[in-house]
Parts: sequence; C-alpha cells; structure tokens
Amino acid sequence: MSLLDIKNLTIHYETDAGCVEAVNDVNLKLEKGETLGLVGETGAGKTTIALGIMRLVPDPPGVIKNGEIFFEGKDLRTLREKDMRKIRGGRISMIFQDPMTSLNPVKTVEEQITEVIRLHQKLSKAEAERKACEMLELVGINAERITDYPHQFSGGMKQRVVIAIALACNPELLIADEPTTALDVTIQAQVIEMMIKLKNDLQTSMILITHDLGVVAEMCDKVGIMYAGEIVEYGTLEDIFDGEQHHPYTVGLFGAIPNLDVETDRLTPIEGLMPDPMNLPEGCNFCPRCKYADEHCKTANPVSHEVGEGHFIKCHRFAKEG
Amino acid sequence: MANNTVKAAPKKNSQAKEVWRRFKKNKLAVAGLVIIFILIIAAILAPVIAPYGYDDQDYSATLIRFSKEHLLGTDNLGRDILSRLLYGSRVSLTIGFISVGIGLVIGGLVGAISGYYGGVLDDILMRIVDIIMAIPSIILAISICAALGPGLINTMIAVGISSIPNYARILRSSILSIKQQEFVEAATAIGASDARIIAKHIIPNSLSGLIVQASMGVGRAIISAASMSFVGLGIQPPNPEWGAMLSFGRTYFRDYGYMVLYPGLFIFIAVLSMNLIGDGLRDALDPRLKR
Amino acid sequence: MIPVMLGVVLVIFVMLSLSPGDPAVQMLGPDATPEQLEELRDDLGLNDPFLVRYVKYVWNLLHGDLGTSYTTKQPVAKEIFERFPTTLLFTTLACIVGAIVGILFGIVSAVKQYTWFDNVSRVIALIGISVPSFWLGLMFIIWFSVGLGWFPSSGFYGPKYWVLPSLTVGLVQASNVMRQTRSAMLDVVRQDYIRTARAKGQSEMKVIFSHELPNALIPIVTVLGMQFGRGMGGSIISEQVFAIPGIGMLMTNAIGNLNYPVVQGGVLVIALSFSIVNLLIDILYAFIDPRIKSLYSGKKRVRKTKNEFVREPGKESAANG
Repeated sequence: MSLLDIKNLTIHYETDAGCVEAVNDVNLKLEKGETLGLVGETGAGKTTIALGIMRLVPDPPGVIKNGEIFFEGKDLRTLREKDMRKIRGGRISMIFQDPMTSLNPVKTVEEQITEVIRLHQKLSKAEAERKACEMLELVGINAERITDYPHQFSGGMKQRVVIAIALACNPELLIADEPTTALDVTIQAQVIEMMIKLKNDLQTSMILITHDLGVVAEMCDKVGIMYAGEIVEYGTLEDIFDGEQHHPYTVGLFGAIPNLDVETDRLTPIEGLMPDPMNLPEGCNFCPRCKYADEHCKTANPVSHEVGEGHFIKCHRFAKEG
Repeated sequence: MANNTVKAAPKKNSQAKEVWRRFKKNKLAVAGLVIIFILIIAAILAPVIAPYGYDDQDYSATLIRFSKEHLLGTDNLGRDILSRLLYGSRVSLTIGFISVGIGLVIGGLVGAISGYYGGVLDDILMRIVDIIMAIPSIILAISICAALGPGLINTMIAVGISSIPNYARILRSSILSIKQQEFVEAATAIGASDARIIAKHIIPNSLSGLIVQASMGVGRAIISAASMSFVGLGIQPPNPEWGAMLSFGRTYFRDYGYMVLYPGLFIFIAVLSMNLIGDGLRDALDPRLKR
Repeated sequence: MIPVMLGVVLVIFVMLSLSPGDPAVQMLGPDATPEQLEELRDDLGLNDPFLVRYVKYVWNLLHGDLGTSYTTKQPVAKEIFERFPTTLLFTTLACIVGAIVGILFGIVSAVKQYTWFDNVSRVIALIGISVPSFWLGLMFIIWFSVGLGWFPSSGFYGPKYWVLPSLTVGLVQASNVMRQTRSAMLDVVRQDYIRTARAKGQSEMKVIFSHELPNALIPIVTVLGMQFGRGMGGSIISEQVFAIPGIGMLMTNAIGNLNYPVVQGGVLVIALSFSIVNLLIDILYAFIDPRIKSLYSGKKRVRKTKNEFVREPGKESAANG
C-alpha cells in the first residue's frame, strides 16, 4: 500500500468571473520514505494539489470536483472534519511558501510550536515546551530564543521555525510548498541542506513543490512535471533528468535553464504563455506552445502513456510507441 | 489601492466610467442615490408640491394623526407635517452638503499642505488638528454654535469646522503614501511646479478616500445639525429643519409619537442613503477593498 | 497630552470670547442698569484683556480650580465632578454594549462572509450608523417605556434606568464597531499564518479566537476608543433625551445661560477623559502587538537585534555542520 495515492483529483475555483480549472484529473503515488518533486510554472496547480491533500482549499471559491486522496489506504476526502484535524499537522504537515507571512506575528515562537505539539501529542505544558526547544535546536536555532516573536527573526530563521512546527509531531508526510523561493540564495542552500538532513534522519516522506530543477535533482526520488493543472510527465529522477523520452514541455523546461557544461549564447525559453486556466484549450493544454502539435492535438486531450516502467508522458506522440 | 489608481490616472474618463459601471451593480447604493435625488427634487420643488406652507397654522386642525388633508398629520399649531418635512429637506440637505463642503475645502487644504510640504509646517498643522480632535466633534460643533449664536449659517460653519480634522488627516495620509511613488518623483524630475504636482497628480490620486468620506460626511453633518437643533442650538423654530421639528415635537411625543417619528424617519432615510452611496463608492473606487 | 489640553483650553477660550452674548446681561436680566452690569463684568473678570484671562484660567486650572459657576456661585470643579460619575457610567455601559454586540456580530459576519447572516448584519449595521441616536432614544421611550412600561424613561438612578440609554447609544456604537471588526477580521482571515494554524490541525473556534481575533484587535480597539469619545461628547445630546443628570445636561443648561466657566470646564473634562482613554489605548497597542512594543522599548532593543543579526550567519553555518 502506498503512503499516498491520489486518483483523478480535480479541483476548480468557481468565481464570479468564471471557473478556474486549477487541477485536472491528477494521479500521483508516493511510497513511504520517498520524496516526490512537483515541478511547474507559477499557476500550474502545484499548491492547489497540496492544499487539496490537506483539505485546506479555500472554500469558497475552491471545490474538489472529483477524485480520491488515499492516505495509508483511507480516503481523506471522506473523513469527518474532526478526524481530518488529527491528520493535519500530526501525520501530514505542510511548509508554506512565504516564511515572512506564515507565522502569527502576535504569538511567540514557543506558543506557535507548542500549539501543534499539544494538539497532537498528549504532553503536559512543560513537556511540550521542552519538546519545542528541542525542535528549535534541531533546525539550528538557539533554544534561548524560543520566547521571541517572529519579527525578531530573519527570513531564513523564520523558515526554520516553520519547518520546526511542521516536523514537531514526526509526520509521515511532509508537504513543502516552495520552501526556499522567498529566501536569499545563500540562505536557500542552507535550508535545503537542513531539510535533506532532517528528512533522512526522521525518515519522512515528502512532496516537494518547486520550480527549481536543481533542488529537485538534489532531493527527489520521483518527479512530476505539471502544466496547466495536469501532470504531463511523471517518472523517477533518472527518467526525468537522464531519460531519452520526454514531454515537449519538459524538454522546454530543461532548455530554459543554463547548463554549465555546455557553452550557450542564449537560453531557449518556451515560446508563448501558459493558457488561461479559466479558458483551457479543447485538446492538449500544451498544444498552442508545442512545436510538434498537429490537428489531432488541437481536438483530443491526450492520455498518459507509460513509456518505460513507471515513466508516464501525457502526449499523443508517445501513443504509437507506448 | 495606490497601484490601481496609478494605472488608471492617465485615462481619467474611462476610470470614471469604470467606477460608475461598478457602482451601478450595487443595487443598494443605486437605491441610495435615487432616494437622495428624490429628496433633492422635493427640496427644490417644495413650494410647488407641498400641500401647505411650512408655517401655515390652522387652529381648527391641531394634533391630527392622519387625515386625507394631512397625510402625515398636523402638529399642535395645526401645521401640516408633510409640508414642513418637504420644506425641511431644503434646510437639512443644504446644511449637509454645504458643511461638508466647508470641511472638505479647508480640511483638504490643510491636509494637502501638511502632507506635501511636511516639516515644521506639517508639525504645527498636525498639532492644531490634534487639539481639535481631542474635543469630540459634537461638543466642538455645539461650542462653536454656542459662541456664534444660532442660525442656519452658523450651524453650517460649526458642523463644517468640526469635520476639518477628519478630512485633513485623510488627505494628508494619502498624500504621504502617494508622494513616495515614482510618478510623483518623475514629475518633480521634469521640473513640474508644486501647485501643478498637487493639482495634477496628488489630488486625483488621493481623491477616492476623500469622496467616500465626504459622501458619508453629508449624513453625519445632517445628524450633527439635527442634534444641535434638538438641544435648542442651531436652527431655530419655526424653520422646519428636521432636527428642530423633532425638538419641537418632543413636548408632545408621549401622546403624539408621530410628531417625532416622521422627522426622525426623514433624517434616517437621508443619512442611510448617503451611507449607502458612500459604501457603494468605496467598493466601486477600489474593488479590491470589497467587503 | 498636557500641551494638547492647554490647546483645548485656548480653543474654547477664543471661541467663547468671540461670542456676541453677554453673561452679565443674562445674569441680571434686562432691567439691570449699565452700572450694575459694568460692576458685574468687573467682578467676573470679563473686562480683563483676553490674555490675562487665559493665563489666570490656566494658572487656576493647574491648582485644580475651574472657576465659579455664574448661576450657582459654586466651584465649577465641584459641580462637574458631582456629575462626572453619572456620565462616565453611562458612557461606559454604552461602550460595553457596543463592544460586545459589535465585536461578536463583526466576527461572525466576517467568518461567514456573504452568507445570509453576514448580509443581514451588514444591513442592520448600516441602519445603525444612519439612525440619529436621540431619535432612536425617543422611539425606545415610546415603545418600551410609554407603550410597554418595561423601563423608566428618565433619570439614572439604578440598573433599571440604565437599560434604555445604554442600549440606545450602545447599539449605535455597536454598528460602528461591527463594521470595523468585520473588515479587520476579513483582512486577517486571508493571511498565511491563519492557514498555518489550520494546517496544524487547530479547530475553527481556536483559529478564530486565538489566531484571527488577536491580529484584528488593533483597529477594533481603536474604534472602541473613538466610540468612547463620541459617547462622552454625545452625552450632551443623549442626557437630554433621557433626562440624565450628567455633565451633558449641566453643559446644555450652561450654554443656555451663557455660563461660560461651566461650559469651559465641561469641554475640558470631556476632552481630558477622551485623551486619557486614547492614551490607554495606545498603551494597549503594545500589549496587543509585540512589534509595536519593540518600537517602544527603543534603543536597547535595536542594539540587541543588531547583535542577533551579527551572530546569525555563524549560527546558520553551525546548523549545516
């Protein structure tokens, strides 16, 4: 049994202006101890998947239209809110993108860490406080500073506090939503390194949402490439980084980052823009930007084809070969 | 907020159109606008549409609750209440709009100078504003009215002056935030004069807050003036200002409740309409603030 | 605050000295001879130059002397402080009603934004801020006092008397508080740290009361302070409606009699209590928001943060080692 098994997940935001199809028919699997990287542009629906797993999609306007999210065999969507709360922060926890705004400005770091501990573990106040100090030390912050308020910390340290909160209850699954995007480049490296270390020490499974392929290469076992609410390619780290066959979008993504080994004058960005999620193309979502696109692509939305064991590509070009 | 207005600044007309389009969607706000229009028309046409004069006494028909001749009844002097209310809308609306005008012009000027030039001038003006704000506005208005004596003009001055700090502070703070923006720096860099920068760049961009405040201010001014008449200052009988009518009816209100019910209802409806317009304008001027 | 108060005295002084009315005429009536009037004016110090009067007044003020009432010949301070507790109690009760009703409805409205509850409470609040409170008071008297006979309509001599005045002013205040609370809460509910609290598995109630409300408190407390000021000021009107023997009533009578020392004293006491409440609220800010507190604690704090800043890179690398 997989730790997490997402089937046909579809999430829409229904606003006055129209319906945003944020996540469309997404399938994902995560085994215990593995790290899955979700890569894609801003607005591809990565964060919405994460919020969907946590059942924190803002409602209204967000609606989970369809699909199942099995966590250790139980469908999270059918749980009562009370049981879901036990999972949130306890067995699945999440690190949000912007550490500057993710901590409550009027509560001390201690209050914010002990809060999650006391919610999920039967500990006395004093024990919880001791545990909070341990967590703070674990992420490399002097425990003396536990009574400080968030504004007294720098951005990198705030993200460490957020990580301490997320890991305080030894979750089975950690969802990290662009944990380093808001940080300085030097601090980014430190936080990433720390996360790798903690993940290995604590044996936590993880979903890492990012648009930084370098981070993916460092941390992930499996990679899903997302485009306009869909997983267009999914496979092991090797499949994605060294494999022969790729979705055109994946090729484009790799073309858009500089390679130190090869001398290039210009990077090759992907032409065009991501389609308006309120008004997706009829056929393949990537079709308007795809240089291989033909008439078939304009009318029929491709299904995922398994091109190698566990390597899926959602593109018509692989239909005959698959 | 700033971003929005900044982008729209060059095309003023289309912005006004866009605001109007959003305003129209708000049914309550439109209702408020319609009611205020009806009241204004009633005020203008009072001599034509009112069945009686505002001071026509008829001792054969005093304290009538309701009759075909007197739809809203008569007071103890036999004056037709509906007619008095219609004439009264002239007084109350005039006070509302003019005193807001006074507060807006003086307060706006103080706020603009204070916010734009800053420094010692700003310090002095703001200390004065602090002093005035330490006195609750109704007390200030009543004190001014006590000093100037009763009457229509004095009431407007009193209510107007007591609202100056409010407008001064709003304009000052919005100017302070706009001053920091690049298009103002750009204007300074190409050598535009202070007056030009204030008139062409700063005022249009800080207008939205002021407009909203002013529309709600009309309502507040009507209530303030009515309050003053109510305690015997401000407008004096037989002038049919709504608050004065209320004050007059108080003597009889235990037995003849309608004498205070109707004037109060008119005040309430006028103020409610202005507040609806204000709320609607706020949402229309800055849709992101919509709540 | 003291300079502001001196300014308030000056403003009132200037205003009343511009007044065309003559207290001497008012006191002696129209039959007094010019000599009598002149003598009285001398007695009252009305013939002194403006500046002399001002300095005298401030000097006496600093000694706790607000002058002598023209009509009762009593010290103004005594007259005012006999009545002050009544007005303070009245204003405080109204503020309590305003705070409880306004904050509760504001919270529920924000949490249930765009539901029927929200729509109805918004309309009621809009009605509340549009209704003249003295008229509402009269209507309450007609319904609950004259009609149903539940509460007395005038005076302020016990809890039964407190109900109608406090409700009248309190409900108008509640409307303002509700609008402010709702919009402050709406600002907070979309913040990332609220999502963090939910992601911890915190219950909705706890999220609202221990995460959202504390962060929305500053604008709420500010509007409560303003309502207190408005209540004190409005007492001049509302005490008329309910015949409450407080400062407001004293001042209305004093204005009618051109009894300037009492008017000045009343305005000053009201402005002073308003300023004190505002000061308390400023202090309260520091307890609500630790960021404001560290601004207050000044230089010591800044130095400490600098040290932390210097120390931090070392620590970051220690964590990696």
